[in-house]
Amino acid sequence: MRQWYQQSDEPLMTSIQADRPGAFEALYTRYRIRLYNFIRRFMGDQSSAEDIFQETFLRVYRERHRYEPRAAVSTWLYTIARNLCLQEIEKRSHRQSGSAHLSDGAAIPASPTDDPLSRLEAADTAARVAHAVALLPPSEREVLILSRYEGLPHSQIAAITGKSEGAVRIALFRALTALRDHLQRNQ
Amino acid sequence: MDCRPAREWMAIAVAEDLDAAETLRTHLSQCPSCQAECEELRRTWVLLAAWTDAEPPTRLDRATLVKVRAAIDGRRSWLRCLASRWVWANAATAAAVAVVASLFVPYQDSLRLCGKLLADVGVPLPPLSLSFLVGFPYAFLPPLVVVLALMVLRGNGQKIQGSAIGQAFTLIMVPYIFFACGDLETMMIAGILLSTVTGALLAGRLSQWLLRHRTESVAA
Repeated sequence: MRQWYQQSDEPLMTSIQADRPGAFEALYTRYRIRLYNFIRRFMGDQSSAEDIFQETFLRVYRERHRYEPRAAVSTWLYTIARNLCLQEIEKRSHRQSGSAHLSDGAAIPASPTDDPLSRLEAADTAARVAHAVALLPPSEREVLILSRYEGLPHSQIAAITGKSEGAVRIALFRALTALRDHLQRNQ
Repeated sequence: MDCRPAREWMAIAVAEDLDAAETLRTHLSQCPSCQAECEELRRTWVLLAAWTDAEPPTRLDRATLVKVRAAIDGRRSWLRCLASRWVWANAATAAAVAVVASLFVPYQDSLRLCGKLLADVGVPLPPLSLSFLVGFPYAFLPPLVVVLALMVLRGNGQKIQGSAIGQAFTLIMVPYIFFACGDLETMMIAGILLSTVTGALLAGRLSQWLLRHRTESVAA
């Protein structure tokens, strides 16, 4: 089992394609936090984020043979998660036009001190940021999350979202200005 | 002054923490409003860090891995089933029942009788449909009877792989059809082959469903 944890993504993916026991679990362990947080931030509500998280890994397993080493494994994984999020947002927009889901709010960040007041302030800022991000259109939200929280370069974001790098830059600029305006208004 | 090109680069400067492209640097040195905007965007970028990462709940990890393992086991068990001698033995028993039935009432006789009967009642069928109709019971009933008999004889229905028995039955019967129906028209043979595959797979699915239903009722 330990051998998988030392492998880089591409050989690990080849092992998953060959149905080697333990390989999938290693990929899961490697990406669970990143994909969970990407989906959670994209969707804004815990319940659908959990459903999409499960569906993402199930789809990774079912479509493992469709992965080609031309693209980075992380790009492929984010693309699957992103497509599932967009499908859910699309379904949701049919059900209830326009209202953002904000039931999740934000995880309360750990405070450097144990001061309850600063914890409360940090939680409040996190909730305001989560709310502002949820109000962005999906095309800007995905770019912002991939860039700010996942730390991906613009070229990889372009590959995941199917946009040009110029379009990614513009979407990010728009997202940031919208967030700035919203956060200033609601200070 | 045209600020548009500089704005596109601002996103890079903020997100990737670069010293910014030459175009942007030059523009910022001459445009106080863009300079202020760039600074505000940097502050917003920093503020976004307040929304920290969270750990997936343990129950979510468990549920996800259970689902994926079920998919992995499902696939492996299908292969394992077809590799099992026990499945092939039961499929061979079902095939023997079908062969014996076809010896007592050959496909050719069934086709003649059925065709005549349908013509008499005013429903003449084209050869493909007629041969499908005739071939279906030969392929549907034997695997179903074998699985039902196993269900009665064995206490634990979970260990009976109805779908795999249906698939193995198909693989045994297809060459036999060519042997037994070689003198029929191609269209008739095609109809019987089609009904054999459909009938056996349907019997497999139905018996699997019955087994699951029985297991669930026993568990309940």
